[in-house]
Parts: sequence; structure tokens; C-alpha cells
Amino acid sequence: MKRREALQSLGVLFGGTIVGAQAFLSGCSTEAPPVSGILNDRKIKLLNDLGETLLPTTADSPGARQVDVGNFINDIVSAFYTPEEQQIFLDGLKAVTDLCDKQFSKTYDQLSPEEQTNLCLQLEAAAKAHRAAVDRGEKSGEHYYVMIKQLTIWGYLSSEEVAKTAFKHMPVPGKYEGCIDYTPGDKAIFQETGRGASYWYAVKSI
Amino acid sequence: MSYIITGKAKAGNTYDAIVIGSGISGGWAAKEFCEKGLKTLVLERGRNVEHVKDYPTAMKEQWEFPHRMEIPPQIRNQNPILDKCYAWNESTDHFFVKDEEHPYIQKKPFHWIKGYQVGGKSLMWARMTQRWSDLDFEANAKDGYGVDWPIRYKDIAPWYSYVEKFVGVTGNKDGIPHLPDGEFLPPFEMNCLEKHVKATIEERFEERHLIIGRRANHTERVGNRGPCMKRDRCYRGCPLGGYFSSNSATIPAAIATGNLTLRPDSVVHSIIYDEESGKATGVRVIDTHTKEMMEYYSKVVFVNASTINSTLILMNSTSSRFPNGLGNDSGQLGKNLMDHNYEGAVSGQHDGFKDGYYDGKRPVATYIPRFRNVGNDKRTDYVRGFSFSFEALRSPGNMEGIDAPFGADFKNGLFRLGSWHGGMGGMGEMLPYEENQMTLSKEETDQWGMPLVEFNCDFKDNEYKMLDDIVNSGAEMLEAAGFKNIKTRIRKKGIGLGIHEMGTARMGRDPKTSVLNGNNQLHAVKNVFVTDGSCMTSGACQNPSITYMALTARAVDFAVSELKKRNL
Repeated sequence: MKRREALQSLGVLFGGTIVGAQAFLSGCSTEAPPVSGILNDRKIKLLNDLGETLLPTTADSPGARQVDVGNFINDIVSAFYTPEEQQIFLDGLKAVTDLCDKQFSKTYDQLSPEEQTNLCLQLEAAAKAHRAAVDRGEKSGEHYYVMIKQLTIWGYLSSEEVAKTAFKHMPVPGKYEGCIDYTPGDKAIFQETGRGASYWYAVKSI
Repeated sequence: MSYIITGKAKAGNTYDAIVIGSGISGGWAAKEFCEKGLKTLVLERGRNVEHVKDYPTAMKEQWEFPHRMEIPPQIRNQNPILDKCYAWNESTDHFFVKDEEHPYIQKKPFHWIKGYQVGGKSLMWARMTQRWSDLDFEANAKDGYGVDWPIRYKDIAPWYSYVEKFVGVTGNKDGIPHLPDGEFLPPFEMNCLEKHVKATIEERFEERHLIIGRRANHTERVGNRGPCMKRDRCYRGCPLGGYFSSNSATIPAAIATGNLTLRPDSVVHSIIYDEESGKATGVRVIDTHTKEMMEYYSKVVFVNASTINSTLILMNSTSSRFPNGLGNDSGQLGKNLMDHNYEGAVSGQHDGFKDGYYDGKRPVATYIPRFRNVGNDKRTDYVRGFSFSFEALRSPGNMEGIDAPFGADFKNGLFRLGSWHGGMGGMGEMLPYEENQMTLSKEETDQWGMPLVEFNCDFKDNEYKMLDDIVNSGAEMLEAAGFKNIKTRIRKKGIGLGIHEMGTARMGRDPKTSVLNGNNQLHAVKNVFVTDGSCMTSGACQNPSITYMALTARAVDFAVSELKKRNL
């Protein structure tokens, strides 16, 4: 999340500042706020359905629904997002539901796979237009579709099922060999994917 | 101050030796004193951390962490300093001190990263252990920055060997005069691309080498520790004892003697100085639970609280003889603060070796020893030099030829192995400057009533000129080795983040210009020794911990022989 990091860096304290004093004096705790979750089951299901369109089940590996990206996204949006970002996200989910209703008179899960793809392509286009407007200085903030896509990819790649099916998962390798033969199609060693890399994948096409 | 001095009998609080701090140097002081038969008290300001038992995240997978290993932004925002530390994430969070837990004052933004627990930062250190040579010990004398080291390589070489044999250092005997070989466990293997980069650099550039990293990871069993299982999760604490820490190695060795008393949750307030004998008699300690102040006594005191805190304790130990801090006749206490300059990095992509990969997770990178201002290489724009850490990797996430913004092909791209990438991180020597210093606030105090530390420290012209050369020469070597899309970065993250703070109680030959002598003894108070990073007279461009360990073992040996001669 480059933009968010840039914003955070503005908050860095310089020059004659007592670091940590404010929190220390106010007795403020560094504990994360409790995760109650701001998304209801219907929204979590919608995220799993959207996730399945973005990262579908295939013969060799699970889809996003199987690894339950919806609940993961609920955890992260609740714990990581600012109230403003949470509002963008919630408004975005409503916008998706409204779009399904307006164009197909159906809910997202009632659409055919082709219609779901079609809808997500529209969201891609909307996110692209939003970014162009941000670049022109006409809009600000992140588009909700980028948030959904980024968190879907992050939750998916960091899930147990994906680590163990799509990658060579080696919690205790025991050995290291520096140079082995590799044939295209051999699995890559699982490594932790973070929010930053997930963002890169999400915006690559936007 | 409202602390109560306990009325306990002095005898019950008396030891042969007191060691302040249980990190990488304090652990060594404890082990050496205990093994030489001295009843030793180790004071640790943080909580106890027991090997294996207190490594709660060691076996966890990414999906088992509440936020998949990332720290929530609200907590990051509350910790603007710690947030800049490369090793802080959800898997290591319990070992790092939060900004609010020990506030300090930045007159200039020095980033102070802290680990307050038994074992200190030895739990999450980067484990790189290169010896110094006379290129480093003679540097100050030759170019005139700082003061001359009171020791040379021959003085410390046997002590490097002594500590390396116990630590367990993996490495290769490379025969490079200014990066002396040590007592090594078998080396890790380089991967396909690293071997190619090594061959290219050594063929194309005179007097440059690329070697496998020398690190305190155990490729063979060391005593009852290890071997390393190549999990590359060292920063969380290793339940297999695959790398060296105080917790896995020196503290258990000290406990085994029956001579160790370990007192966690004990902030040392000051060292007690006796005007009559001209010696220290013990220390004043604040119990972090009760806030009660108590005194402990000993014949000898080793200060190993980590650079900034060791200097803080000395500065806070005032008396009519030492109004400006214990042993501070020279006025050098708190000055000459150094770190290493890690601001320069170079990376690139390599399209060769597509049929090559590696197996396992190597916790060790390769290393390019210093080549600037060595032998025939003479820079006119700056003095000293830098080294590089270099690692080549192939990662999943290969989106080449995939235009679909989502769907099955896109998903497959996330799994596909990509090209090789290489990353070089420079580590530049920083000169000792008197004006780079820490002082104590006259107004502000912390939770324990200790004065807040103020920092006034900056990189200067020599460091910035070197930094340009770090990125340029790194890019030049990657280019020679056939890398594409080479990117150079000057990170501007700030001083302190090398987490190699050094120099604030420097060793030297002359009591007028240094705090410690060649045996790490306060010139003016012979039974107080300082053997952590604060003793360093210059910084070199090797990771410093193995030198702290060697100096500590050497100083304990000296102290015990002096005690036997009744000189202390």
C-alpha cells in the first residue's frame, strides 16, 4: 500500500521530539483493538463469491472460497483499515450488490460465471478510471475494488491450503542444496507473501 | 527520589562479580566469570526468556498469526521508530521494545531499536560474524579520525578463536588477509547464480571477493545445540538451538556452573563509587515490579547493558570525584556515537540459470568483503570502506505473458517460479565524530526515574560520498554479472537502523582522550569494565558482535587474573 505508507511517513516525528512520550503519558496501550469484525455474514459470503471469480478453483489448487478469504478480509478490514477506509470498503460492497441488481436483477451468487467475470471486468475498468482521476488530482483514496482484490490475493497466498497444494511447503527443510535442476512446472518453495506484494499483483492491470 | 533502599544485610547482596545485561556480551561475561568460579550476579532490565519455552512463535506458519505476520497500522503508527526496523513483524513482536516503553529525545533523528529481555538482542540478531583485522585496528591512527585503538589484531585473534569455537560459526576459509579466517563449521553452499556472480566479480575486478557468509548458524551440532534445520526463522528464537544466542548458549553454560544468579526485571540506576578506595563497590538497581531501589555489591562490575544503556548508566553514576559520569575524566563519554551506513542497496533481475533452483531455506547470505582503500585501491573522495551482503533468489509470482487481470491463468501466475533476482545491501563504515553524541536530559525522566537519553547524531560528508560509491560499485558488479533492470536505492531511513550503535565509551591509549583502556577497563576506576558496543574506538564495516564477544572473554580473563593478584 504505497500511498498509505507515504501518508504514514508524514506522521514520523522529527527534531527534539520525545518519541513515545505521548502514548506513555496518556497510558495508551499498544494492544490491537479487539477484532469484532465490521462485516456481516452476507458481506463475508459476497467476498468469498467475488474471490472465487478472481481466484477460481482449478484442478490442481483450491479457489478463494475454499480458503475462506471472506473471513480473512473481515479480520483485516476491521483491524487495519481507518474508519474512512472501512467506509469506502462498505460502500463498495453495496455498490457491487446494487450493480448486480441493476444489470441482472440478481444477487452476485445468482449470476452465471460469465456474468460474474463480466461484472468484475467492469469493476477493473472502474478502478482504472478512478486511478486516472486520482492521477489528475480529481479524486483521492483507493478504489474499493483494489482493496478487495489485494486482500483476496493476500489472504489466498498466505493460507494453509494454498501453501500446501500449490507450493513446495517446507517448514523444516533439514538441508540446503544450492543448485538443483529445475524443470518448468516444478513447484516453487512457499514463501510468505505480504500486503505490499499483494497490492502489486492487484494493481498490475489497473 | 522516593525509592527505598532495602535494609537487607549487605552480605546477602554481595557477589564476586556483577554483570549488567544478559545480551550477546553480557552472556559471555556471565559464562566466563561463572566458569572461572566466581559467584556472579547478572542483572537484566527486561523479563526472563527461557530457551525454547519462551519462543511462542517459533513453529508458527504464516496463517497461524492473527494478521498473517503483519503489524496492524495503528500499532505501527504508535511506534514510528520501531516501525523502521527490518526485523519487526508479528512473528518477532514479543522481543522488541515498543517506543512508549522507553522514550528518548531526538535532537536529530537517531533510531534506537531495543530488546529488553534475558538474551537481549542476541535472540533476533542477524548473526553475521566477520573478524576484524589490522586494516580496522590501525585505521584511526592512519587517517587521524578518532583515537588509536589500544589493541591490534594479534591481541584479539586468540580470543576470536576462543569464542568462535563455542559460538559455532559457519564459514569458509577464504584466505583474505583483511578478513581473517576463523574457526569455522562447514560453510553453506552458494546457489547457482551466486556462484556465477562470484566467478564474475573475482575475474573482472582486482582484489574483490564474494564469499559465503560467516554466521553464527550451526551447520553441525555444537555441544547440545543444533544443527540448523534451514528453516530461516532465526529471528523468532530457535527451539532447535540452530543459531547462537545468550539464551541457547552462554546463559545455560553459566547456569550449569552453579555460580550464576540471574535477576531479570532489574533496571540498573547507577554504579556505586567509593571515594576512599577509588573503586566501584556495586550497583543500584530498580526492581521494575515494585519500583523499589536496592543495592548489590561485588569486587568487579561488567557493564554490558548495550551501548546506549551502558553509557546511560555510567553517565548517571555521578559522585564528587566524577560529576560528569563514572570514569569520564576525558569528557568523551557519550561522544563518538557510530552506526553502520545501511542506506545503499542495489537489486537486479537475471535471466540466466532458468534450469537451476535450490532446496531448503538458507539462513545465510553471501558477502563481499571491503575492497575500497585496501591494497592498491585508493579513493581520493573518502576514507575507509564498505562491504556488501548479497543474495540471489528465485521467488514465485511470475506474471510474464499473463494479461488476464484475474481468473485461472492469473492465479497460476502467482504460483509460477520467476526469474532470479539478486539484492545487495551495502554496509558502510561510519567515522567517529566527537559531535555525534548522546547526552542525558536535565528535565525529562522515564518510568524508573532515569533521565531520558538525547541524541544528536548524523552521517556526514565521508559517509555520503561513500554511499554514492556503494550504490555505483554495487550496480557495476551486478551489471558485469549480466543482471538487467538494475535498481539502485538510497533509502534515507536514518541512522541507528543498522542496530550497530557503538563508540560512546571508547577504548584508547590515553586517559585524556578515551574512557576505557586496552583491557576494557575504565581508565579511572579499575574494577569497572565495559565490553559491549560502547567500547568501540572505530566501527569498521564488519558486523560487530563477534568482536564484542571476543573482547568480553578477553576482559574477563584479565579481570580474574587481576583479582587474583589483588589489583582490583
